[in-house]
Formats: sequence, C-alpha cells, structure tokens
Amino acid sequence: MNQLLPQLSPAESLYLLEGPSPKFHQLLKVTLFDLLLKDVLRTRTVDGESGHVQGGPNLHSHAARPHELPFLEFLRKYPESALEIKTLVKTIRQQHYAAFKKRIEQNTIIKRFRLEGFWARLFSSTGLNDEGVRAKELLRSEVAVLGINFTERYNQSPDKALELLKQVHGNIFLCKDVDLSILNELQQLYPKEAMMASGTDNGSDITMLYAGCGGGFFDYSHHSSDLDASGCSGHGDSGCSGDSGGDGGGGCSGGCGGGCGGGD
Amino acid sequence: MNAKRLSPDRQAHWKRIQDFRFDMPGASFSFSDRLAAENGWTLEYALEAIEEYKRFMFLICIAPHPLTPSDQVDQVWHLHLVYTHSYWDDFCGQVLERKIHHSPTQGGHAEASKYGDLYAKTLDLYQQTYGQAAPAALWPEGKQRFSDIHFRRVNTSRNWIIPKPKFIP
Repeated sequence: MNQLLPQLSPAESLYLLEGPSPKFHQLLKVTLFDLLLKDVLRTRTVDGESGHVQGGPNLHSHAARPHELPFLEFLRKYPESALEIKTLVKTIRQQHYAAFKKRIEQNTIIKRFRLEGFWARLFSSTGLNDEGVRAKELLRSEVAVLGINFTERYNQSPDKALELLKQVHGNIFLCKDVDLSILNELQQLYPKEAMMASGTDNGSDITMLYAGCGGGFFDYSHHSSDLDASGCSGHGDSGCSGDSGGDGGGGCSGGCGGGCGGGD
Repeated sequence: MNAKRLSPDRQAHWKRIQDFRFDMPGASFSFSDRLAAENGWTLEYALEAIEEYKRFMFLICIAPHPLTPSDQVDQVWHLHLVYTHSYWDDFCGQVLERKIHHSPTQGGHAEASKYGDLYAKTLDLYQQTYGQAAPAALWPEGKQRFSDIHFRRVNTSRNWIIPKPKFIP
C-alpha cells in the first residue's frame, strides 16, 4: 500500500530520495513525463519531426504544482503552439537549478521534511529532519516494490494496473525495472482514459520517447541531449553568407503593407 | 483566437502561420536563441515575441491598411528579414502568399503622428481579432512604445551596462 507516492509528484519524490541536490536533468525529465502521462502535455510531430510538445486536453484544468509551472506557462499563453522539447527545457534551465529546487520545496510535505535553518542543512547529507529521513526510507521501499506490483497487478488484470497508475502517476518512472510495454498495452486497452491518452497527438508514443531516453530511470542516454540542452555555446554564433538564388523580394506589395517606427 | 469566426480560407492561412518554424532543426544557435541573445531577453520571452510576431503578420494580411508593431515584435521582424530565404521565400512566398514590406519611419512630426495612429489601430484590431487585449509585456501602450526607442549596439565583452537611476530623465 503506497502512502507517500500518491501525494508526491515524481520530482518531489526524487528530491526526497536523492538528498539535497538531485540532478537537474532528472528532475526535468520526470516532471516532463509525468505531465505527458497526465495528458497535460502531448507530444507532437512538426514537419515530420518528433520531439515537440503542445498542450494536452488537461493543460488548463491541471492544478499545477509550482515546479510544473515553467513547463506550462508558455503553452498556456499560446495553446495553439508546439515547442521542441529541447527548447522548452532550455527555457526552464535559464531559470537556474536553485530556483527550480525552491519551487519543489514549496510543497507542504517537502517543507515538513526539510531541516530548518541554513547551517543545519549545510552540514547535513540529506537536508532532511528525522521525520524526513524516515519518510525517505518509506518512499524508497514504496518505489522498490512499485515496479513489481505494477507487473503483478497487470498480470492479474489490466484494470488493477491502471488503478495503481492512477494513484502514483509519473512516479512509475522512478522504478528501475518498470515494464514500459505494460504502459503501451494499457494505452491500447484504455484509449479514452485520461491517464492513458498518453500524451500523443500524431506524435511519438510517450513510452517510446521514454525508452529513447534510456528506459530505466538512472540510465539516461539518447534523448538526454534534449533534456541537457542549456543555452548556446558562444562558438560559431557569428557570421553569415549571401547568395543570389531566387527572386529576393523586390517589387511592391500591392495592397498589403507593414509599417514600423518611432518618432524620429 | 476563435478560429471558428474566420472563413475556411482564413483559418487555413492562420494555421500555416502557426505551423511556420523559425528554428531550423539541428541548429545549435537557433533563430530564437539569436533573438534572445541580441536583445538581452530570456528565451521564453523571445519565444513569446515570436508568437506575437505571427499574430501581427496575420493581422497585416487581413487589415485593409498598414499596421505598426510594438518594438519587441519589430525586433523579431528585423531579425527575420535578415534570414532572407526564410522571410521572402518560405514565409512571404509560401505561408502568407504575399510580399510584406517593412517601412521604417521617415522622421518628423507627421510621421510620428501617422505611426502613433497606426499603432493604436493595430492594438484595436488585435483585440477584435483575438478576442483579448494584446499582452502589455510585448505590446506596451502607445506612449511607451514610441519613447522607449533609444537602443544601440554595444559590445558587452568590452563594456559594462549599468542601469540609469529612474529619477534621472
């Protein structure tokens, strides 16, 4: 029986499990996949290329936690738009790790488990108080059995697996041994379930995308370049070229015109 | 925008503008990166400015008269004009299916008044078309639009930029 997992988003779980400084790209990754699983975001193919996200049916109704807002703010303003995952992650990375972590720490459960005071936290390996350390152990055991339970329940009945998934949401991605094919199966079986619309809109499947990220939680490789993208290098960012191909845009507009300018 | 209020042709037109990609796949320094870097904006703000540029361009296509963008939207336009293939061939040629020229002010009071009026008309048309006021963060009111214009190119590796105190005019 899960006590903590249903109350925590995967990033919050990771915060407790990974001590005071969980890796930024892991926090971003589990948050993104949680939002895809909840159909708040959907993947989309643009010009034949996958790796884009747009708002899902739950974009506006989802009660976003503070650390989820950076994923949603732009798309809530421009719901018709799609963003490359790489670009979305870059916008969040610009807000810096400390700011993102602070957003996670706004959760009341996390607040309860955190050590009070700067110095106490500085000299602590976990940043957690006694209650927090106990919670961390409980959470660790819940995650450890989640993957096994998920498979067992699915073997008994897919309904039961779905029920469990609805409790733990994206925390399922914290399990090292989660069987992604079950998520695929559930998606086929329950296409109309909000949880199982699974973030797709003529784009790539969420589990395929996740598998592309390396599958197991501590084993990222492929798509991690999208999730690790952080601004620009400053090398090769200058320079341009010209050519004389095509008709470059002479002539008049014939009725259409833009204008601009300030005073003088 | 309530797309259902538009004719099927206009809907298709708007969809094409919406789907237009400014960032080329695989570019390590994309259009939006450059826009953000050159203007000292966050990437998110630059992406919002690009969305507003798309909306502005759609307005130009449906308006019977010229329109004037905010300075932020104008910066997107300037940069897009630098990407000549993307602007003239892809965007104007394929997406808008018309040539949209950019005409800077000639200076003087008459021009200032003309562009002030056009900006007000643009904000009105925005409200009518999209059913919401243009966001103030990207479309400041007219007075600010035409007073916050004293920009120049600065090499930040050789110069510091220090904000001027507000009480100094």
